Amino acid sequence: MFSRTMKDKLFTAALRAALGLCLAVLAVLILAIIVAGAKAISFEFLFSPARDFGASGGIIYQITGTVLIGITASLLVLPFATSLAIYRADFVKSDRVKRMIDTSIYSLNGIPSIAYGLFGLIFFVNILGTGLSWFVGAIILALMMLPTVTLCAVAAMKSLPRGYRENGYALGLSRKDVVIRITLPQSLHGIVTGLMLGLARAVGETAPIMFIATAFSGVTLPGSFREPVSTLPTHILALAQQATNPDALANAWGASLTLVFLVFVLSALAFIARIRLSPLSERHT
Amino acid sequence: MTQPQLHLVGAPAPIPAIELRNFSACYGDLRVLKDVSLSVPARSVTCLLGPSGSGKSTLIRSLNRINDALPGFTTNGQVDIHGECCMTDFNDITRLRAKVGMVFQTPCVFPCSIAQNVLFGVRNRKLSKIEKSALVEKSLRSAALWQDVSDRLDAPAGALSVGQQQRLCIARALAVTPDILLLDEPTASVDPVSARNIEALISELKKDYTIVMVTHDVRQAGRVADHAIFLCDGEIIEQGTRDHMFSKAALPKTRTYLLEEFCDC
Ligand SMILES: Nc1ncnc2c1ncn2[C@@H]1O[C@H](COP(=O)(O)OP(=O)(O)OP(=O)(O)O)[C@@H](O)[C@H]1O
Ligand SMILES: [Mg+2]
Repeated sequence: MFSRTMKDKLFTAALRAALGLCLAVLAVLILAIIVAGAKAISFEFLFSPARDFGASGGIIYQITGTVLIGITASLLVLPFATSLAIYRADFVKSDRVKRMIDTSIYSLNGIPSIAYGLFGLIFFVNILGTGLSWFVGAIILALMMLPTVTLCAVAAMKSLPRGYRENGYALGLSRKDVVIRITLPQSLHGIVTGLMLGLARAVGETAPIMFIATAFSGVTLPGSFREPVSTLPTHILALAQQATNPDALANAWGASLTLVFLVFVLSALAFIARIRLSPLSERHT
Repeated sequence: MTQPQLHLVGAPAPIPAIELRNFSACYGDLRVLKDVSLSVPARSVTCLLGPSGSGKSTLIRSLNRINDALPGFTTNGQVDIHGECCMTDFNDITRLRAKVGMVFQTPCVFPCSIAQNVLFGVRNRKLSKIEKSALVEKSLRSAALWQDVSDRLDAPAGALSVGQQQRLCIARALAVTPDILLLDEPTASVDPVSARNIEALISELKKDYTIVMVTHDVRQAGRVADHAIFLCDGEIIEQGTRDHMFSKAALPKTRTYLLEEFCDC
């Protein structure tokens, strides 16, 4: 029989071990990407176009492609997610409708990313005949981001003390005014956090966009909505398939490091937005 | 139970600013106000007194229909504001709220400057810069806050003390130029000195406004009220002038509550 303190100690040790394992895996992964990636990264690599399917040259058009699709997806998702969140948080009275909306949002979040890719391929490329288009890719990524952004926005709106809205109504503001002048500005931190989190996930995705929005070689800046681009994750996929070529592998590590850095910056921005934009009521307590 | 008295005892009946006839209110199935009839004279302070849960907040929040947004809240009966039916004559509910201002128990300032807070309810009115700063000054002076903040109108309102924030909320309500001011326990969350300031302010404001306020503090009611309404368990036990309510002529229940803050209804 173990004594009580012994059990306590064992339990604590198990928790510590779990935490240690998580940290170790994270550290090894990041260290590996940094060590292997740093060798490939240079000014030249970051700012010149890819040659030989990426085995030589750089990743400038993969960076621009990722940024272009990311920004466009954000701009597309923002109005939809915000309206949906306002409707869910302030306009729906019936609990049944609230549950229905929540279930739909969570289901949307649960759909695997490859399914989004297939949907895009069938609906846009085949039925609407758009061909490979970066803009369609942005639409699909926007759909993928919708749940994250909406949920964060709803959470921020719900946590806003009822007093703010009541004071607004008591001053004679209409429902529209209360939304525009009280609810929205005071939940901006939630919207921006959701956007950054969703974007951080979306820019790392390969599956939803590889059939519909990207090509693996010969792409530059798109001249119209109906051209493909190349992105960092799809480029890494292409390079990994040539892993027997050491140059290609080195560049894959370099592109990975660039992508990790990009995601890190977005997450850091989300963190800052959370603090800078959170309403007074939360900051003081 | 005594019949609610429509006419105030011991005073000539003036034209009421607010009149309720057989007014009832329910949250879902819970009937919180039961056939309440009362009248509030203009340009005076009327205090709503009663034990916790007696429906004081519900009553005051029915006067500007701020409770309409709550799911399951229903009302029955007549509420007249200056002779206009509060429920039907105000199709535009924002017009009702412009006439009937309200200040809540906990001050809630918006995260913007002091001046912007004052102007929060008048954004839709076309005002020049000069008119705006005049309105800010006038409202802050009326709320006895001008002395404290005149040199930092652009400072964030959240930096004010709680008592100052409550006066800012009053200034903000006054800027909309209402006739009636509803105050739900306006001094409950401020320190005693600020509470005295706000009491003095209320006595000053009654020259221009009709004030209805909820208070738990019987002595406070004794200081500021012109009229008092004693509410218990959703029914009005007695209403009348302060002098009547605090005298020996008042009903035994009223006297018990005012003297011992205890009620057995
Ligand atoms: N939103 C609500 N939903 C359901 N019931 C409510 C709601 N608000 C108040 N009630 C109920 O209505 C009754 C009266 O509440 P009200 O807030 O009007 O009392 P009060 O006199 O203001 O009390 P206090 O002095 O504690 O503020 C209480 O029994 C309360 O439980
Ligand atoms: Mg109350």
